[in-house]
Amino acid sequence: MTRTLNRWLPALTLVVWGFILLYFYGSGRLAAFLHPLFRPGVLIAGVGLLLLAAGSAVGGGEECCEEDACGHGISRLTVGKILTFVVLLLPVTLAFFSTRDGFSLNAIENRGVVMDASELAGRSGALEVPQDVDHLTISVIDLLYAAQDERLQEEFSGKTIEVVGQLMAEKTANPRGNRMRVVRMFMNCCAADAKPVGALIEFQALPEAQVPELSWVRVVGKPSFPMEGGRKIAVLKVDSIDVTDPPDESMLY
Amino acid sequence: MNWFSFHFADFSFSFLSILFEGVPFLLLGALIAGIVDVFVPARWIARMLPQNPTAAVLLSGLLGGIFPMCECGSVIVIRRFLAKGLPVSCAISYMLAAPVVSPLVALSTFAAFQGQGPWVMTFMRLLLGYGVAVGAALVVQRMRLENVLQPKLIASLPKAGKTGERERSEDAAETRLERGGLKIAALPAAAWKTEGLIAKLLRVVRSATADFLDVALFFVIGTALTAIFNTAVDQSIILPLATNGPLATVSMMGLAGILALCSSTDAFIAASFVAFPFTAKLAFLVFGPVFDLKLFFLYGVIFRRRFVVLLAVGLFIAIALICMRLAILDV
Repeated sequence: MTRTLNRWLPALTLVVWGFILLYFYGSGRLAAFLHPLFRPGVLIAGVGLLLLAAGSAVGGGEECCEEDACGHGISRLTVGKILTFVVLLLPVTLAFFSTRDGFSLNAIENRGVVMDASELAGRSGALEVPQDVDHLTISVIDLLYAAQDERLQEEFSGKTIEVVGQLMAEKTANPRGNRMRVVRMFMNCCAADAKPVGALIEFQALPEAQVPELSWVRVVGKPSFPMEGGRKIAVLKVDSIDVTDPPDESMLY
Repeated sequence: MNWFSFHFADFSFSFLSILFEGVPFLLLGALIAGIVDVFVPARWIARMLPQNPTAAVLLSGLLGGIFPMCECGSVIVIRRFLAKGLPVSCAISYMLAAPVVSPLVALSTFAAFQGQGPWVMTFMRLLLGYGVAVGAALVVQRMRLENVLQPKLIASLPKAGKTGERERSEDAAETRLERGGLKIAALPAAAWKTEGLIAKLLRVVRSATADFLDVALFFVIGTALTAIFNTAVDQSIILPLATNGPLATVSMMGLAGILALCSSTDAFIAASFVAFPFTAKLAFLVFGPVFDLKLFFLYGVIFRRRFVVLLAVGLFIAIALICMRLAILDV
């Protein structure tokens, strides 16, 4: 019995983990979870786990080490093997079937949407704005940085700006009730560290057709940088807004 | 205001993302541990140490750079080192430093802190981790062996004096092995010469699998707790802690102790606490690898419970004070 458990429980656990890793990598769903830098590691680990599973099964269920020198306090015991099997497979399998590859409104609000570039790390390079175009497609975070950068404010002046993001209600900086937020998640390494970054958009009047919150929208408008609450903020005055598909990299810029 | 609102889909997303990020590092660590376990006899490392006890402690703290080991693995390894006559102080220096002073940890810390001062965080983490490990080891060097180690382990050690000075004699070492019953490594000494490569590779697989599953168990639990905190808790409620330097440092260290994360992946979790100051995250990253809930139980395999508690309190106070001081210096 112990030999059978030794042989098959670890192998089965590793096979399930390896399969899940390879599935997310192969299906492309991994893009929502990890920064591109870490994605190859998932492929390698998936293959590695399957190889380890094969080796574990071929090994025929022998103990990992000599009994008096073994430090594997949990997997040495039969009950430990079963506990490991359950703990490793149950949450992972449940998560596998229930994840929606994105955060709900509740989770985004719990993280607190960054509306001020001073709460972010400094940008890695200056944004180059072409002078000979009237229509610029930029990211939400560029709009936020522009509120603190007079050069960008001048360069954006008079141009039509287009941003893509998820729509959220604006509950604070909304004195006339005609503002909303357009939000993007900003991931450093993995979705768990993703920070929502938002910019204000302002309507002449709120559109009659209500778009559900967190819908992906393309907003086109003119930027302005009024002083509010003692600081300069970025507001995109909306000319048009359309529901759109999420970008390929919904957690990156 | 509702500060806790759990949604399983959010939990799943956060949980899997940390898992995907951490598993490759966990697997790499387990494979390295398996290879060291089977192919590197502890005596090779013991021979490399200088005669001077302080120099030996200083060097032991750097061995993690050559033989990287996560905290769970290092406990296993030093048990074997102790049986080979390695001084307790050197073993503690290695045990506490190896989970931090390692290329793998440096790499993962650097990667995790992209955009948050990766060079400074990586350098400070390694430096402080090494300093704390060596400091603790130098204190232990002055303690009586019976106050540190489990009695059954002392019985297996050489007659090495109060501070566990090392004997270099090969014969003496062999005698100790016979008497104490603890072997140099998991592999019986004779098998080093007789086992073929395939058999050794299968041992690597078995050892790596056991290491991976042992550590993954705690990693999954830690990741699940983190994912709950990460998605269900309104993070604005901990902002008062984040903005108070000393409180932020202490609370992050407490969190590190509860989450019991693997040192090769904890930087990714620390980096996600964007509201907390740099030094509080540093405290999290230095304290977590040297002491947490799972290590409390693991250390108990080798050390007396009272010593384990003293070690925890000492490390907590030392790291907290250093990090608070660094915060004052605006690091």
